[in-house]
Amino acid sequence: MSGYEMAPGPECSRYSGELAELALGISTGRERAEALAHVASCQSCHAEMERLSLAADSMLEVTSSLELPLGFEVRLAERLRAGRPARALPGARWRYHRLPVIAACLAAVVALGVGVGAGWTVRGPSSPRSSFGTEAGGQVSTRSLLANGHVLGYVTVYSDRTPTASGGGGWLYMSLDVGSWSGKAICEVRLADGKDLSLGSFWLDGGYGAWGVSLATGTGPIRNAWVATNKGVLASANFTSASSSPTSTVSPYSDPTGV
Amino acid sequence: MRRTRETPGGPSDESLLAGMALGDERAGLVFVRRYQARVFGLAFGMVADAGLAEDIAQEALMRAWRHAPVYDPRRGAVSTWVLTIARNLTIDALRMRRAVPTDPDDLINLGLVSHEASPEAAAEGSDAARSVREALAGLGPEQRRALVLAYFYGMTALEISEAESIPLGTAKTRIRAGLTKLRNTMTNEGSAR
Repeated sequence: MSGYEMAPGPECSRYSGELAELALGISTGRERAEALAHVASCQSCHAEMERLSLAADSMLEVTSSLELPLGFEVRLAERLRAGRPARALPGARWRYHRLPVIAACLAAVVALGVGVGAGWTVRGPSSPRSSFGTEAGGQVSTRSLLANGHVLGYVTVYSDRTPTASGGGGWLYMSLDVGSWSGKAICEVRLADGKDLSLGSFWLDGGYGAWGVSLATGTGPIRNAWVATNKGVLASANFTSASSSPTSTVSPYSDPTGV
Repeated sequence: MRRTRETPGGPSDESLLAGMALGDERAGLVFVRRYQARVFGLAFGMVADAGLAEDIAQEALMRAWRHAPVYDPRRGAVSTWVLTIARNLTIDALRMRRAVPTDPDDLINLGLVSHEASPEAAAEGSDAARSVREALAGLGPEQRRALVLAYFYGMTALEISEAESIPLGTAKTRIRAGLTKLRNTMTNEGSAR
């Protein structure tokens, strides 16, 4: 009992039996309302209630970790991708924009985890612009997909730099949310040697789309990636700038105002 | 189902949540990987259905990630916060699906007996977990069942009295006596350290 805690008053005995049920979260009805009102005004019962709540919550400690079902992380990544709320939610947009990125990272873990188990090393600056190595010898880089300085999505590239007979490969994953437009989008990249490649296409549904592709072995480092429609470039990402601020990346591509 | 070992070290839970709140996806990834087996273990222990437990665990992890900005460290440890999200979701799922919960004794045994069954399992648990297990083991079986039914299954005193075929007053007494005894044990443990 703290030195500032007051002694129980005459009303306390009336509610002492209710405190345990309150702490366990199973109190109901008028008793609950009355007990809560008393706890709010009685320092002694409030302190007791806190101790009982701590004791109740301590029971969570006895639960055990269990091996996850096969594919758990893949399905979680899918849920994270699909779990975004309606775009109209004010104030929460920035947070939900990160969901696909988490999904991409989980996908990376799943992809790498086959070879390296649970262990992988994360290094580098904070995201959304981030690069980090993996214990498998590869490099994961995430960049913002920008249009006129606005973040519309993210693109993650995994480059397998482990020397192998085949030369290694990798994958690219992107997700973006451009508003309400639906239609076909094309993913293109510019390699370090200046060569442009069209990696494939996917569909935006209500402005949102997420897509991934394996990179052929021997594919060189990617300098830029962008998403285009038949009306122009939707958004682009720059993998070469040394700046850590996504907003400082200068998009070399036009704004798809016609979309 | 095989029990897994927690990975010690690394960034603190609080720093991971702070990173998640700021939009650091890697913090979210580390957080998810740190807690997913434990959250799944809790849900599975309560429902004994791997499919339903997976649904619950994934939803709990998503909610924890989304609500990272509102986590208040003054109200409890991160592990308690995450597991409470999972517990509440499981209680809701059991109610909505009218699923049959695990027998309280089985749930208790999952945490008590299995951990004590081998040196490896015993070493796995933290001091806090060991203390709680011992405190629960020190309760009478009826009090322990009443506490588990109340806390893990959200059953009211009336529901417990019906499930256990005991008078309502007896159910209330068991709940109160059990939690008070647990509180006393935990308080004594805390002051002895």
